[in-house]
Amino acid sequence: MELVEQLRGRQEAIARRWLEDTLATYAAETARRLDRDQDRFTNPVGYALRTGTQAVVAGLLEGRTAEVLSGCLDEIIRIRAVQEFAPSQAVGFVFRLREVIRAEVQGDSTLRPLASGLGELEERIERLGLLAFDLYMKYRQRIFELRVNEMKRSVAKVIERMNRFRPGAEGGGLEDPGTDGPSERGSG
Amino acid sequence: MNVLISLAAVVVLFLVGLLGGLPVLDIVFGILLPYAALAVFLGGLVYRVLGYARVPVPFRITTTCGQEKSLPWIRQAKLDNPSSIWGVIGRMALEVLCFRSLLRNTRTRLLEGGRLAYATSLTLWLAAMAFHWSMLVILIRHLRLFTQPVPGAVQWLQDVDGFLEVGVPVIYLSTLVFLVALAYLFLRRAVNPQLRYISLLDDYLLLFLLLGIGLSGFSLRHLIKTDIVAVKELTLGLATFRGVSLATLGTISPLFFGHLFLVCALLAYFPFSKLVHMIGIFLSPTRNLANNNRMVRHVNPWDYPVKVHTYEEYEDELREKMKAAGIPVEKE
Amino acid sequence: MPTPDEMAYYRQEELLEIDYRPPERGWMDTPVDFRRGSYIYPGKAKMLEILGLPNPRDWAVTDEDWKLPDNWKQIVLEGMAERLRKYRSFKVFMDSCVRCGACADKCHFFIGGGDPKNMPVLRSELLRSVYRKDFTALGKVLGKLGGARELTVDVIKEWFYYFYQCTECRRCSVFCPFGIDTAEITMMGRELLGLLGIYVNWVIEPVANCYRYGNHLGIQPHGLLDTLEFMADDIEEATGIRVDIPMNKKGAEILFVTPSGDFVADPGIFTCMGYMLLFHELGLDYTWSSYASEGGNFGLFTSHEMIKRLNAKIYAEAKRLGVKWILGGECGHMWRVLHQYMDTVNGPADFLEVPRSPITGTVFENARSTKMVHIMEFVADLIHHGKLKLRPERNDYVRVTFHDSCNPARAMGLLEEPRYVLRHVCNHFYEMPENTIREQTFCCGGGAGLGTDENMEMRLRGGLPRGAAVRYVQEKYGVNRLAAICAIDRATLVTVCDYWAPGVKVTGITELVANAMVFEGEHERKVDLRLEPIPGMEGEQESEGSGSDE
Repeated sequence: MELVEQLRGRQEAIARRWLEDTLATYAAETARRLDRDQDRFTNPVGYALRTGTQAVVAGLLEGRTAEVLSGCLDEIIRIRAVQEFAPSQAVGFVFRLREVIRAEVQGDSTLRPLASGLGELEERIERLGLLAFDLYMKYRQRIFELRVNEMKRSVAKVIERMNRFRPGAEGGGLEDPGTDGPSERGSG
Repeated sequence: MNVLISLAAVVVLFLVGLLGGLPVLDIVFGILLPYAALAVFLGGLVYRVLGYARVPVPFRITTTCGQEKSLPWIRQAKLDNPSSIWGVIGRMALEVLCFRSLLRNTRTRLLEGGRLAYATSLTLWLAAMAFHWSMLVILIRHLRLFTQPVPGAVQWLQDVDGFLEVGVPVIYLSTLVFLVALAYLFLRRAVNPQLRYISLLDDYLLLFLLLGIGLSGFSLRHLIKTDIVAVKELTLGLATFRGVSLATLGTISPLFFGHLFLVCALLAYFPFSKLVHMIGIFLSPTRNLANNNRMVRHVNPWDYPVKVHTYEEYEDELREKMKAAGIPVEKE
Repeated sequence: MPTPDEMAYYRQEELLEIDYRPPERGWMDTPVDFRRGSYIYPGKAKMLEILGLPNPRDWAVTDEDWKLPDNWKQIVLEGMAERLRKYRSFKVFMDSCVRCGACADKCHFFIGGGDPKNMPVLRSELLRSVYRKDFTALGKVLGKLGGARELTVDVIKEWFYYFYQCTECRRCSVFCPFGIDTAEITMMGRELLGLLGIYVNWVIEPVANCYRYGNHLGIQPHGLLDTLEFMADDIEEATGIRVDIPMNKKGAEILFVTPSGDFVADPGIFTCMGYMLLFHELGLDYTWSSYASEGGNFGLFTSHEMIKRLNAKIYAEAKRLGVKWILGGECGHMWRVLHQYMDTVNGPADFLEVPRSPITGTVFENARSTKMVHIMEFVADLIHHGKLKLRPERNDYVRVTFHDSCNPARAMGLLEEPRYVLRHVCNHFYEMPENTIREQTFCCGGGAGLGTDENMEMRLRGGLPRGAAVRYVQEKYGVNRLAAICAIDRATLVTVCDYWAPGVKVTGITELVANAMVFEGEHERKVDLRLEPIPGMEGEQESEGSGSDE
């Protein structure tokens, strides 16, 4: 894996290129800001993309385990799972890393002879893509859980109350307080 | 697209202005148009101010940017959250003179050991301050063309402004700052996609107009000099409504008329453009009202009665349930 | 044939020149694209009828035809003209913007999502473009070049989409050199939509409930009493104390009003229990009201007229019950209305007295006209005078940070009181980064009537800046609790934290106060108000509480 060795020396350039590629999935007006504002609190998306892509490239070239790589991808996917992307777009940026590395190899005459090492690296990137998909599903799932939990939180106490036995309770105490009134939550 | 149209418009205006160098037309460009532009400018501003003043402020909707006045032992942010008229004046002064709000861009930086450091992002604030203040200085400097004798203060400002003592005649610092700040403001708008997205023709047009005025003014002083004595005769004549002799007008270079015409265009356009922010900044209800809402009642002049659900209606609907639950009712 | 291992296998021209940037288009030419998870369901006809609002009908956002009245355009333009005559804010804000971009990156929805139309300047341009076309000379002449555009049904749809993607948090207004307040713009935009009968159900149903039953949830008087009784049961279990529930009590000294969210939803109820315990311990002569059982006011998210219609109940009830002054619970937009609107729309409250704490004798001069005091002001004063017996070590398992709610921060300036209280009831209090708190605080993403579930993705995007700051203090200081003085926060930040900073729970401040307070006649405190065991307090000894200010 001489290629990987060589690429490790350029991992910053690769990460930068990949980041630019990923930023390009946002509107141009937005992308520049995500890139330029270095403040992690006023620009959490840019921060996650920057640190995430760096960590993934490093981890990939160092041959880290799926668990580690998944941790590096986590924040980016968590963010993209709530942004207005189709699922393919949300995780698709991972596969752009392939092109980035190819371009890096292609653009350098010392690397070109080592191109045969690309195959294995690309296999790793494909596995990375699957990890991203797992994460994406995990977070989409969580969003739906959160929806359900909100619903539960708003009624749990009411039900608990209805089920509680209270000797001496009288009057309206046994009636569901919401029966006549409309409920808080509307639906379409 | 907007950039090109604006640029073209300003170039055309400038070229039209050059016509002022021709006989007869110099009367139009040197005397009639400046008066007309000034009339539009003043009339427009008065119209705007009256227009705003006529509209009431129904609610006191101060944006508070600091601690309110509450318990005596809690320190109030008297300028960022004023509760008195003096606080408001202070707040407005900071806004108008120092662009306080643009200074709020706090950015964090992670220091070694994971400590956060805070710094204010200054670029936009600096450019805005540089531009507005240098323009004010330039305007005041121009007073020397409209006064005889020139007031000491104007002379003094001029001396201070020229302290670099570079070039003959001396290049004023304010001119340089003005042009650099404008160039920055333009580049920022043209290069940053986010700003380009929100920019309108208005924005570019004004930048080019001001740049055109600045550059032509700079040229008049340093490159293609004109007969400054004749210019002063004209401007003083305009200012004192005494008029000026045709012979004098004839000796003024076309470049001056180009400069003057751009100024006229700016004056006439002023009341219709975003430049009315000059008035707006004083009238913004989120800034120019004290946050004393719970201390002093604010009256809405157009307040009107609305349909409410009264307690009687409420009890009528729910009386039996209230009685059953032991909640007191008005009518048994 | 080259194999995949070899570079020649790949078409090189595809590898270089990569540009995914969308073709540049002006925003006016970019039509609105209704994405699921980003819009809220429309108001039901029934709700509009209860309130007597125009054009009640059932429709869906995704319908091509929104069933607008035939003369919709005239209605909107006349509505706009009327508001330009009535609100200087609106008129000045329509003219003053110089598009400097200072606000562009200040909106939490833009920061978290990246949709350029969520930049505050563009949100106002949505209205401003129509204003230019129909109300300015230049716009009429120059048309699109002058930033003006024709009012069309698509524009109405765009307004709906984006004015219901604004939480009226006013963060952008802090940074604007002219103080242009997007909340004001959004309120105008929503009023104009309302003229056509376009509302969201999550706002207009609570409004209808509140109008008829006195609170957003539609809890009727017997139900309210019952709810509070059950809380009293839990209080008894936690502390051994039985608290009274004065309801609609005439002649009480103080009327207490709080958002109804705290009556049913977890974790708001614990804050509500905190109020009951606090008042019991102080022996306060207060009353709840079933008629004015809502401090919040979704009218603020509907129209200025609706603010007045819903808010009227509070003074009316104070008058009927003959109280001396009014105390208000922890809530965000409720305090915007109480502080900035109530006295104007329904005052003057000359039948009330200037609020005076019966415990400390402090006269709340800052509320001398409106006659309504914030619970945090009230409690801070109590602690300052050493009137509460506190054992903050009971809260030692809580490592808390404080989220400034938008409205108390930017429409009131209630910044120090809650911090003062927190520092006295908790030993572990940590601030989030400076540019995410106080007047620069980030919204929860669910304010202004957006706190429902169909727009969950949007809320989570909007909650990202807040979530990122919470996670920072979580990782750095081990923070496990987020305190907020707003009922909407207590509902929505739970979700935001679960997604962006799992492990951080949300709490009201009064809940922590009650957990730290030593009550007369309490039994051994083994569980907190959530009825969860207090770590390290399973077998505590009674000792002297520290009640005074240090």
